[in-house]
Amino acid sequence: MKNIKMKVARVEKDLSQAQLAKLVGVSRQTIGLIELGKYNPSLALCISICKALSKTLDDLFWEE
Amino acid sequence: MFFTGSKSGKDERIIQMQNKIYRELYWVVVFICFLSMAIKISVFGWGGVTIVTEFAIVLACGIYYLIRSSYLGLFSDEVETYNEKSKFSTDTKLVFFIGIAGVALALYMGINSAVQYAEGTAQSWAYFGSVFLVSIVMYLGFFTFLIGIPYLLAKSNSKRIANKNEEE
Repeated sequence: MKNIKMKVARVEKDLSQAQLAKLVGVSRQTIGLIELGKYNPSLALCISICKALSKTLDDLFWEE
Repeated sequence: MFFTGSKSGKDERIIQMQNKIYRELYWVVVFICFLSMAIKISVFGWGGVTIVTEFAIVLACGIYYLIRSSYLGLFSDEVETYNEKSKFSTDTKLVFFIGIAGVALALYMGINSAVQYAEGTAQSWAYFGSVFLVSIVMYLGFFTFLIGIPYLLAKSNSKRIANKNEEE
């Protein structure tokens, strides 16, 4: 399932996939795959992404 | 480029994919070793060629995994997880395997000696009985020493380290 919340939060922060990738220390492809729902990130990476986008885990990774 | 420790090298997805490839690579190596052994034996026969190198590669990989997983406290966890899912415990299966392998080899040696060297039915039975008895004691001891003891040592060492890790 696509992670639309993460993509929206990234765009709100005015960050490209490459810029977010650089901030959290992964490749651009990894960010792309997380947004497409094709890769399940570890909790550590989820927390790094949340910090970079100023969001909580619930905001980005909890599905209602 | 390979030794610069670039940031993309720390990407967990890349590491996971690399680990998956290394896992497959191990099976490729094992397959090549067995293929090489099979070709050598089929071309040159059992006595004509050595298969020690291939055998050593496969054996060394197994020993390395056993030691590493034991010292990381992983081996006992693997056994525990396996036992929870399986009907029979690994200990039971191991005893069963050692028993079957020992009896099978002893039967082979006993029958071989009765067929090859004995003259008449009575001598065949005598040869079979004596060789079978000696072989079963020898091979059960051999398999216990080769498989059973390393397994028990690795499991107890791993359990000790896993408990220590939990205490910290």
